[in-house]
Amino acid sequence: MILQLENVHYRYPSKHHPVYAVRGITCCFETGKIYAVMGKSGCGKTTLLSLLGGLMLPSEGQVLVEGEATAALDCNRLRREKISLIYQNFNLFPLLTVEENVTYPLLIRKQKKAEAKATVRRCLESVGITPPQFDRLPATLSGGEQQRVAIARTLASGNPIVLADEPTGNLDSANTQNIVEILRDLAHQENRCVIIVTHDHAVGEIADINMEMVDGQFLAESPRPEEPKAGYPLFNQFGIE
Amino acid sequence: MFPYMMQRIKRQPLAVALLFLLNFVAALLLCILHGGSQQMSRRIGNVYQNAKVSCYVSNLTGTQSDGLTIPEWVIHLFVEKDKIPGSSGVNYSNDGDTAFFQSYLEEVQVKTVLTGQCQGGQVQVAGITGLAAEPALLPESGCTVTWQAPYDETIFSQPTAYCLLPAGMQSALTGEGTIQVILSAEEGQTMEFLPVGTHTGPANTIYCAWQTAAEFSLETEGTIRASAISATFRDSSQISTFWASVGSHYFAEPNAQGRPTPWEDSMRYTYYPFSLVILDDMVEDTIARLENNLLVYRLCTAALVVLTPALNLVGGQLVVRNRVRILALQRVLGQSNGRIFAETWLELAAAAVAGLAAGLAGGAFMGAFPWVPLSIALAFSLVGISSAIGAILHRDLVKVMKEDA
Repeated sequence: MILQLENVHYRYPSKHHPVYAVRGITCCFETGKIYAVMGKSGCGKTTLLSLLGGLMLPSEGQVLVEGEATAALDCNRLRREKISLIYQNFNLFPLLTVEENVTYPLLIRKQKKAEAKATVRRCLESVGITPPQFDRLPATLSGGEQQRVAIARTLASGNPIVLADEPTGNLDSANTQNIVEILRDLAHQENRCVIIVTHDHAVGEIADINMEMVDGQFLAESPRPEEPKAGYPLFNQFGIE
Repeated sequence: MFPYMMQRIKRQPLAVALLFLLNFVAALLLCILHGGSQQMSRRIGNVYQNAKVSCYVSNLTGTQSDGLTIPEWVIHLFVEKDKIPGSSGVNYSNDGDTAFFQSYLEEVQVKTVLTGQCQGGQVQVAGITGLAAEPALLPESGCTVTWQAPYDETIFSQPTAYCLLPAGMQSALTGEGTIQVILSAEEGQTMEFLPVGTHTGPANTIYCAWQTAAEFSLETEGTIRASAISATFRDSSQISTFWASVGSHYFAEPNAQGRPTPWEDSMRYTYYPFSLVILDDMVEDTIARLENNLLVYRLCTAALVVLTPALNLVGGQLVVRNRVRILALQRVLGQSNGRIFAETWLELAAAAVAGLAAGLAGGAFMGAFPWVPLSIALAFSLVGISSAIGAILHRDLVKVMKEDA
């Protein structure tokens, strides 16, 4: 278990009455799996992601990263070394090239530019960004390419936890599929814990665990059905062959 | 320490350029204003130095500067004791102030007039300390003075028997070529002069050294009186000090109505008998104009010192608001608030300092380095920039990251 929530509440202060965005969530997340958190707008998904990423601290309860509460940790360091965030808007530095964008997190971790170069290039190529594109500014790339650069940044950082907030929200179906597959590989092949907040059912289909959120609480947690093993009869959920 | 800061600035130098330009213009203007202030101050100094302000003893209305009956104690204020005949051993009550008067004044001109008879008829003997003591002898009055070699105006500075004769009075000369003036019937009261020059001024007036005339005045009248006294100030900037410290103790200010001014400190006089006219109107007007200009320069400088930090604050706010998403992204990637603040502050502060330095270099041709206003403007500008950045860094990151690009 890399990430745990223990009775986490978050209350937005308000003049008239407080707004509870997250109410008493207790759950845990493991590496090597991809989680999809789904729900209607305003159900608290983004708030949950912000709590997981250390951008906010819970009003009650605690968020534990590798057993340590975020309230007791340096959250900036947490995001440098443990947690990566991917957003719907890609959020790349507009004045840095593709390569510089991906190198940035490594440099703030005091890694030398020359040492980081090889890692950065490998990560970019692994998401389908070709070398001629390395020196281009983000504005000259398509939406899908920009999101792939954001994912390459996450890959390069090596952070074990990846939080993605509607990563396919601004993409067409082809790019969506592409991004979703990359995120799945991130979880399964790179052994990261990938948590995706999404409305997109395509994401839900590839996620190992689907979590539905309503009014700040998880309604249900449903693992993706396992693929039938070769040589064994296929049983439906009712045990009927 | 600050990854890709220089690359970012090179690719979009607008923010840096804006602050640089703002501060460059401010510094240049400060230099120009400071140069102007210094120039005004120098001009004021020059006016005081070069302007010759004269003064003269006058009646109470200030309208009569000649033909007065000025007693010896007034003469004593202007002339050293040893140059006043018969004054050795005399203690004037104003002895202490004489040196004071004389420290402020120079080119003192005194005239004493005696009336007598000569071969040509009635004549006036005017003892003067120099040609300037008698306006009627000056070229401006149309008078021509012709000296016999080797004599000149210096005959008036010593108690000599030389004189300046009216051009038409040759017939009054004796056989020896001298001129005798009988002041009174009493023995020893005949003045004999040797003419060493002629003038085309007042027809019946012989001009001799003042000390000579003063001696005869003492002998015939028992006292010395002057009909005119004038002087020039050594330092025009000290006129007010002179008047306050000593001038007003002996003279009234002229007033058009001739209203007597009570003289409380005098044991002899109830009212001031004379006024002292100081011809400083033109100097005062010029100085007032220059000081007005100086004030304008200083007010503009002060306004600029206030405006510069304000504009830096606004400029800094504009720049930082424009990059709030970038700052939020840096936080999301794990950069600390302190580092983000430092990086942004360094960029903006460097632009401001560079602009001020360039403006200062540009203003160097004025020879003016307004260190104090510039330092104040810079200090408050840096505070303004810090406030602009600090205000933005406290915004809700989550909200910023969710906003559409």
